[in-house]
Amino acid sequence: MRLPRRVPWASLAELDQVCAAIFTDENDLESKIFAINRLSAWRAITSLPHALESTLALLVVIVQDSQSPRNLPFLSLRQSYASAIIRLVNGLVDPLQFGVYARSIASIASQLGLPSWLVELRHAATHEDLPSLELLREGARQSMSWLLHNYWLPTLNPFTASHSKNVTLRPVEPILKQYKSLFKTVTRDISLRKKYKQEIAMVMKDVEKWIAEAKVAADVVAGELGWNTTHMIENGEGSDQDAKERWALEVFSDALLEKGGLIPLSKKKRVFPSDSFSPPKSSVEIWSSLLTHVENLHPEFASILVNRMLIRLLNKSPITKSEKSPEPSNNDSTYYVGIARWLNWVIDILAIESNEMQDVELKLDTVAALIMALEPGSEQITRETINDLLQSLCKGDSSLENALSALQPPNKIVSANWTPDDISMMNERLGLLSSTQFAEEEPANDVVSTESTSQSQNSAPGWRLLDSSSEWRPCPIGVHCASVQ
Amino acid sequence: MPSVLLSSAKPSSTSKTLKRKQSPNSDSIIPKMKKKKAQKKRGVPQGRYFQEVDVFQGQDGIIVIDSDDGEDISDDSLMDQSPVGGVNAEDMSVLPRSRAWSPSHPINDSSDEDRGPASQFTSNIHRPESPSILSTCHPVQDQNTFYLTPEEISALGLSCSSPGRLFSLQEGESLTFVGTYRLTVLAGCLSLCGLTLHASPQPHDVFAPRSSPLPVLKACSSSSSEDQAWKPPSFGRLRDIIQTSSTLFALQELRTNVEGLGSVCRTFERVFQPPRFNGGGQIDMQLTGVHMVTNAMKDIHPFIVPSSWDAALETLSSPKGVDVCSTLEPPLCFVRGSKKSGKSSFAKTLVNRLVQKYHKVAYLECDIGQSEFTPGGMVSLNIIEKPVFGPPFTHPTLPNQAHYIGAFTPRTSPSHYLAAIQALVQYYRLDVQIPVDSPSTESDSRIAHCIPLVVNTMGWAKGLGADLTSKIQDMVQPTHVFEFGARIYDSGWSTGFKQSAPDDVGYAPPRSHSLLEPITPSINYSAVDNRTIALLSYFHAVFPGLKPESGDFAKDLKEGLRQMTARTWNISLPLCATPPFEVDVRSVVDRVFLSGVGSEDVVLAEIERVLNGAVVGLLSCEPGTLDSGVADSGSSGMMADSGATTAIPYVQGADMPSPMTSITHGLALIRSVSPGGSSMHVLTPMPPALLPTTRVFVKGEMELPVWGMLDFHSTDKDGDDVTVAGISKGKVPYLQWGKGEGLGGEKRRVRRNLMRKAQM
Repeated sequence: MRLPRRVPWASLAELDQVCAAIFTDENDLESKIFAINRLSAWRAITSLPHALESTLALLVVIVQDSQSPRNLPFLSLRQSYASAIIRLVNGLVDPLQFGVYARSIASIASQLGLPSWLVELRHAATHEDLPSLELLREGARQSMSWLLHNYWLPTLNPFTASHSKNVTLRPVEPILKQYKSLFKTVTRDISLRKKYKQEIAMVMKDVEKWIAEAKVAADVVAGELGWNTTHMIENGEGSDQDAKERWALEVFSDALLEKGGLIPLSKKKRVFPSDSFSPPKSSVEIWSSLLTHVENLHPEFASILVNRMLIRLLNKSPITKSEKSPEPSNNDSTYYVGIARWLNWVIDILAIESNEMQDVELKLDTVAALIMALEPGSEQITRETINDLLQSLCKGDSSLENALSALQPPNKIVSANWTPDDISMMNERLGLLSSTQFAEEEPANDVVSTESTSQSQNSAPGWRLLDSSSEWRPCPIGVHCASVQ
Repeated sequence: MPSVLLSSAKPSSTSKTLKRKQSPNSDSIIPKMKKKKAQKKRGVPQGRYFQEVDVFQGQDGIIVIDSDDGEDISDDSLMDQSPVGGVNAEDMSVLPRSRAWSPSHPINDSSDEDRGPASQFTSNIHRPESPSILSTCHPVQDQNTFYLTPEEISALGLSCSSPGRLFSLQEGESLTFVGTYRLTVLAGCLSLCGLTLHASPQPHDVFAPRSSPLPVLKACSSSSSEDQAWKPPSFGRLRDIIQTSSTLFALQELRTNVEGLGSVCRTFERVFQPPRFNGGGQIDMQLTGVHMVTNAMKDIHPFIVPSSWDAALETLSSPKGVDVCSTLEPPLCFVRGSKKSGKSSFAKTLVNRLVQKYHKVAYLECDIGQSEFTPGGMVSLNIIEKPVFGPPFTHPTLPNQAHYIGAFTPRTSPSHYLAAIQALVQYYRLDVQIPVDSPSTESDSRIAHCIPLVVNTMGWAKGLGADLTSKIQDMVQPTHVFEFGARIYDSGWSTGFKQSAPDDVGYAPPRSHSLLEPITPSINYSAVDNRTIALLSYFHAVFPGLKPESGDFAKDLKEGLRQMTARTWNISLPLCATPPFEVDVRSVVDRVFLSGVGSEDVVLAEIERVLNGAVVGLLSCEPGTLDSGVADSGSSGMMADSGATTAIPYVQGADMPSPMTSITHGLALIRSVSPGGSSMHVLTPMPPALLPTTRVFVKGEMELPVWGMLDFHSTDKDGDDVTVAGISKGKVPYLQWGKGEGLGGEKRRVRRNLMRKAQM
């Protein structure tokens, strides 16, 4: 369940009214003052979106500048302009600093389509001489116009407005390719490690940078797809960013799962070790560094990667429909085996290394998803792979092994004749299954009646408790429902 | 640069926090992918276990030379580590492994053979490590536990008749329950939450949700003669057990609807029920609303009192304190420390201890973010007469005296905050410390002629916050100071702690100063969550005092110094469907004030809009207080607009009424304002007897949590098809689903842990 957000306007029409008051006529001071009063009131109701706060700050200076009797020094005007612009730029850029390291403000601003000279103006106003009044006036004008086109209009016309500036995201594949070739070299000849150390560090940093950029891009994509986050805590800073991180990591995982990523392009190289259900040794040597690195920085990575692997393995259509989902040809069975083996590796090695107890839950959930996929009628090729994977996942965990063996169809075809033994076997299986079930949810407690007795209501003159007789009806908070006396 | 290695790309990645998220449904294939939060919270776990390893905690971008590379700075050794450098996979995994359930204080009595066969399976599947045992006793029906018949309940002399169960414990055995229950100790003595309960017919209401550490009931050795003071009659099939067992207690159902708050704010859904993977307990309790839990698990943590706390609490009663109790002057206790160190838990334990010795205890709340007895946003003085067991949202209490601040931090109005506390301290000294009429009942051996004070402070312990706290300490002049040390390596507390520069002349240093060991009170729930549930709990609470016989209720509360704690909650209707009071503004409201950053810019024409849907404090002012404001507010700024007509008595930019001449009674939600402002529809849980005195409304920065605006009756399981009072999602005013389209449509967010290029 996604929680809504409290907004100070009853409907977008109210927002539209303010927008019109600000932008319709540049010289209409009256309506600008109306807008200032309205925005100030909204600000007292709940915290405003940053774009509105900035609009308010700029508007106040602009009105102050255009009022004729001027009894303050111009310095105060310059300072007001400067602080409004500084706060506008900072407030837009700061939330997009997703990475561990600071990205340059200019690079984020260009991703946002913010005029780069506003960034320079911000820098000058902060660290250098306070810019000239002329420059600041122009800056304020351009800021207002940027806000109009990037906040007000898209917000007021959510369906018609096309994103004028599509936030772009460069592909991650070149980085992965570079990483792969580096590590191919290094794993072949350990002594080269030292030589390539710088390059390797650079690639890792590049990956991190790409993920940070992807999170910024997720802003736009998430809006388009109606992203549905899986959690519902009203924690302003948490959920949104998590969704973005998930999206970025999903795109990253998908790139890894392409052929030529974790799974070698050439089928000859897909030589799987026979003694354990693990990926080819050479692949592990190449990729484990990267996977561990990303997992260390993004604890959710393992579970997202597993999720994406499952989607491929079980041939479900990905959640994000817009993205190209390359269909590996069905007869390419070693690809699936490869994915399955990597899945096993991720759960057994990657997740366990860094997570506390999530791994157990991750394993449980994965096994559950896999078992469900084994429904009758599923494809035979993947079936074998999934079976192998399940065996490997459940190994060493007696309870899971029991559950698995109970769920799996017997190897030999049971004769079609019904024998009395069958029922006992079914009972046995039922018993096994029910023992693994979760604790039953307690039925909702019937509510203890707490009818507040309304005997002494009249003790407060001027306070009248409304009830159905006064024709008061339930309505959302903030809506006035007139009552009769 | 190559030799200096950035040791941790993520400053506090070692202190990962699990944030509990509920995911009723999701599109992903894996049904419940639990969410991990790393690094969002700075420095949450603060146990001793972390101290050696977690040197980076809270320090952003520290540069450390990896110890392995100390002598050999060759590049090879760097690459043998993980690519990032210092964060190597083993380091990461070692920490969480070694983490016991209460990091500062793992339970020692866990032993594998004690585990019952029933729990074997579930613990295997859930957690490979052996969990801490919370219940060492194995109740066996009709052997050491009995389901009580109604006749037996009345024969035992239990004061309430709800269904119950009798438990017998041997010394050292423990039992832990989740849910709500009424506890009566019948024989021996039982310790929970740092408190020792002796046999007495007095029942105790215990609220034990999983959202906070659970009280562990443990039988302790009964040496004192107190335990023999009262003994229940022995009869029938219970004769043997009553006569032979060393510790005996009755557990009864406690039905309060408090668990319904979980459907109001679904972050707290099911917290009064055991987790799904619970072993189920060994016995069928046959009681509603209370469940036994055996093992500590991911979201079950026991409440354990560190030894330094115990020792500090002893300073109140030890004989060397020159019989603190017998002197006329009661102890004035002052609790201070940084946030999330366990201040509130300690202060509550302190109150519970004191209330066993004193008839009444005064509690001064200075933490306006997470208050113990009142919803946040106000400083308050509460009189406590009975021990309280449970997190703050399970005991909302009417303040005996309070002042509304209107924000969750004193940051914006520090001087008003200090003035409010000054007023409360003065009130305590004049009217509370030595009560006028001390009721003395023969059966009650507790001290009644004076009332001790416990002061809880806020966790803002740096900069201005530290300054404010020490100013409060100067006002209170405590006799006992309890301070949470930042890091305590040994179990130390020391009475000989050096007082940090009491430079004020005439300031008597406290008689004792104890250093305490921090605990991690709540790992799963953030301060925002706790604030939300506290406020919603307040608005759904049913306070005593609705009965007509309590004639002079207000007088009873203020002068009689009674404790008025809600004991039931009305969860039958969401706030949007609860019939409100209609308030005639002209005859009831003398004045409306706004406080908070930027509120001085709200013009008269917009006041109705601002009050609509606002949470306000209800105040009463002494005559004359309001006159001063009107005079100097005649001239308004350039934004003044004439011609606005509203019935709301509001003056732009007026100062808040002084705490010296006003008091706050409680909070109200103005659910709507009629056009023209002549009447308002108001929701408040305050008893009607208190309403006539409240003639001033103050709106601060507090808001109704979004959960409170939703309609939990019409929310389906997935939460996709939401309606509010019959209005479908998307058309509900003042709420917006989904994210805004434009750029900059979010609230500003601040990052303080960014690392710079130079640190790469």
